[in-house]
Amino acid sequence: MREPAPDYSSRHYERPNQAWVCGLSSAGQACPAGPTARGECPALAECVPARDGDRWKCNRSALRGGECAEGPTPEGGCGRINRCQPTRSLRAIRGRFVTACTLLATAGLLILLSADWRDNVISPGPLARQHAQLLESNPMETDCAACHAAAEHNAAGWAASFAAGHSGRPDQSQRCMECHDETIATEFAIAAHSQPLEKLRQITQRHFENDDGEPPGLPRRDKPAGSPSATGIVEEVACATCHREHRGAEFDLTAMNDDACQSCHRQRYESFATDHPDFGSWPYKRRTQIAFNHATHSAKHFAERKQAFDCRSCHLDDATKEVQLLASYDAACAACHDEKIATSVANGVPIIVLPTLDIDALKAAGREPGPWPEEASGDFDGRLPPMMKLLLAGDPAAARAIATLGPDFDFIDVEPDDGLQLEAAAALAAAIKRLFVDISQSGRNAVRERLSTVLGRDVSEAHVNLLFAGLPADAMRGAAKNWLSQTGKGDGDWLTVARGASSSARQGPHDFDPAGAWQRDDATFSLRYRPLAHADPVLAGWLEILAATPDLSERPLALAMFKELSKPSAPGQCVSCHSVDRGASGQLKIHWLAYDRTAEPRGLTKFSHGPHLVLPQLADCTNCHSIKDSADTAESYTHWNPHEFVSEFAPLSKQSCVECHTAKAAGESCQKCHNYHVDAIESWRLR
Amino acid sequence: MRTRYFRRIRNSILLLLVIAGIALWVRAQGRTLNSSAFTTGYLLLAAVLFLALYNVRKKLPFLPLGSSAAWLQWHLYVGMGTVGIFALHLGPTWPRGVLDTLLAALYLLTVASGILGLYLTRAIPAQLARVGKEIIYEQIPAFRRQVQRRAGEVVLESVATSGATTLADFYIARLYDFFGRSREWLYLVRPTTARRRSLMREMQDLRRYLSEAEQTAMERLFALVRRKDDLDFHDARQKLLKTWLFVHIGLTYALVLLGFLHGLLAHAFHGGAA
Repeated sequence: MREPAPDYSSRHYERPNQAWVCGLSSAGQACPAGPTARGECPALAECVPARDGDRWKCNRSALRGGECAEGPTPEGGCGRINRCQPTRSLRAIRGRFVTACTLLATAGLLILLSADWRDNVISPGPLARQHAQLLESNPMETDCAACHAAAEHNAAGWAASFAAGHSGRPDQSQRCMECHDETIATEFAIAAHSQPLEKLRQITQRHFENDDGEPPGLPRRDKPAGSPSATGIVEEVACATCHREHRGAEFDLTAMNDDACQSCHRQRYESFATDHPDFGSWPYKRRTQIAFNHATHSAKHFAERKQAFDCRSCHLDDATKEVQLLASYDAACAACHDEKIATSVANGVPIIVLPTLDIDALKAAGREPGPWPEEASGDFDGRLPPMMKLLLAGDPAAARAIATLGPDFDFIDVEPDDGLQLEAAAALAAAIKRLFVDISQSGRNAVRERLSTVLGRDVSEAHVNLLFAGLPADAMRGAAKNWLSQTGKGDGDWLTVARGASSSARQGPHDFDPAGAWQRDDATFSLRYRPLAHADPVLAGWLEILAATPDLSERPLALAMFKELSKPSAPGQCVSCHSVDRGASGQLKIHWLAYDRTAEPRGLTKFSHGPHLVLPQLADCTNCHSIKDSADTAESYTHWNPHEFVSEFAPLSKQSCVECHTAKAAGESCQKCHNYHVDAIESWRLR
Repeated sequence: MRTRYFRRIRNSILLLLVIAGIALWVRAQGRTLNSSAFTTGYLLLAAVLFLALYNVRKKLPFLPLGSSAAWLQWHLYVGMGTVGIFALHLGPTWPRGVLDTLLAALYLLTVASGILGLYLTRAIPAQLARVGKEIIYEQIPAFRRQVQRRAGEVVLESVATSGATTLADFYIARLYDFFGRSREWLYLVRPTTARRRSLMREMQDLRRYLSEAEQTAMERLFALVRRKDDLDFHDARQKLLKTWLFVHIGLTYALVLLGFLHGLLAHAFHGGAA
């Protein structure tokens, strides 16, 4: 049983919204008037006594209890005056509490923003290890400013910048580039793929125009036509858009999700198996730098020698196991090819030769050449070596004569009845004598001047030294004396031994083997050079000096000489294996070395052999690189265009990859096989 | 009841759809290289400001801003919606910076206090209804005083009627403080009937020593003890109902302040977008 609750509320109207409460309310005796708005007690009487004759009578309302026991004072005042100390209402207390909280928070923020340790507090998290270690030694206050211009300002500055709409600009990327300028071109750091917009447009257009595999995810409707937006190419992408910092020491700053790629590459990509285009001709975008026919070596040459054709004996892991490097010539080729090379130069390579002149015909035509070895007199005969032709062409008279006879002329073709040809032959005879005198007197300076003249460019002294590496200074003088002065002649001798002349061989642009030996053959009136082995500096030097001539195709003689020296039957057979490419500028490049992927410019596609070769099913290289036995690759090396070729490997299909490259297995994100930042497109090998 | 149930289901579905829509929007933004953190951040800040406006609305009852009940419904659903936006804003990782951690903790505390308040506003009225008629919180002191006075009167009457002081002695020793004082702070957090049951047990034990007049008075004291205990229960529960708002609103204003600073910092230190 409960005591019934009194109906108190019907007589008292509460005002909890008011700031002050009567101090007597806690005792259940709150006065009906309540405190003033300022929290003061009005000290009101409960009634105004009424005068009844000579007496005062309590006038309190019956609702408030009727007449009170105390009654009025003798002076007619109320005997019950309510006095209290008003207290704040709960709502007022709550209001003050909330205000205090707000002020406290404001004060805390103001302290924070003006303290020395501000940057530490506002930092959204620890930096990645690579950046953290760079800033470790810096004073604390400069840490944020190393990357953020905003760290140099205060809150007012931030607010002003925000109000002015300056925030969100990719200015911060400039600070990134203060350190990353060596790996990414500053000029295009925030351009898509770090490339000029025009270049990206060209690549895209080429994909559309050639059926060179599928376009890289750019939809057909975005076929490039005009403005950047029409290509779907974003002009600027700030570094921080993809590289999200302040996510801890171990966070991978380079990790991106596919959504970021698909902001431009809008073709739907959900999985590698269903949405990625096939590889097209990748990675066989050009012929190999070293001409090598896998099919014939496997089926014929290795079979004849009863050797196993094992890919891994020539293709070796690099230190990272990411790339496969070719084994050296000595390790992989010398066993078979040394013999053939040696045969091709067994008799030495003629560099300077006296032709046989028809002295009588010349005399009859009034063009007597002067002293000329009797043994070299008779019917016109003799083919000048390409090196000698080049040296002769440095003489204007000889150059005119060569032009008359043609760059590929042979003295056997000179018609004794043809006055013009006789004149040219006589001019050449005179020029040959001048050549001997010139070289005898001025040595290699004469060679340098003549080659500079004929090639139209300055030939370096080092290169000239390379061309005659190991040749004694008096060799030409001796030849001139013996052959042209008719004072007698010896049997000739090999003049130098290679090892002793190796120092000069090292002065050239390539690190060739030591030079071979020189021979003055008085029987054939020739100065010959006999290479010691593969990678001979002199033969390579002559090829290099011609290939390095920018406008070779406009110099018929030099061009013809280069072709003669690069024939399969040429001494040393260099160009049989070392392919020659014509670059974008028209200049030729001889590939003395196999392609080195470790020095490859960073392109859009990447591949690491390492994690693939550990799989048993991929240990056999032909699992991916299937050799096409029927492919005729020889034709691919008869010209200088590396992209016009027949691949000896069957095209790679993505079907080989889809089995493992799924989301749950080896992964299928774009970054798995593609780079975002790439080196200048011009440097890409495949372009 | 069916209408309320239907309304809750409908509103919850709508809320989930809105959150799903925002999530899709955020995902779409990820494919435009724009930072979805700004989108979700602005949404979150706007939602928190809207939630904070409810308190302002209560202070402006004279303006035609919709009923407080409607505001409360919006407050509850938008508040629950902010949890989804907060999750989208943070992503899979908890903040690592001091300020960000503080901000996230403030948000979660505010949400937690809001959920606590929601529970209290739903649970306490039912508890109060079980112990008698509605009692206005501000009137509880007066009722207490009244009950105390009656108890004193009952005891004095019994002394005058019976001439015995057994009941009076017991009243002075055991009941005077009970009627005259508020309950301890622990009772505010978790009110129990232990004190009442203990007193009643003692009073029951005392009955056999009382005269008939005192036993009549004791019966009235039983009722008054129960009434006082009810008043204490009302006081404790209603006080809790009013004081949780101290925490909730206090946290809200600090959250808004810190949220503005966070936004300003995010813009100032933003590395730039596409």
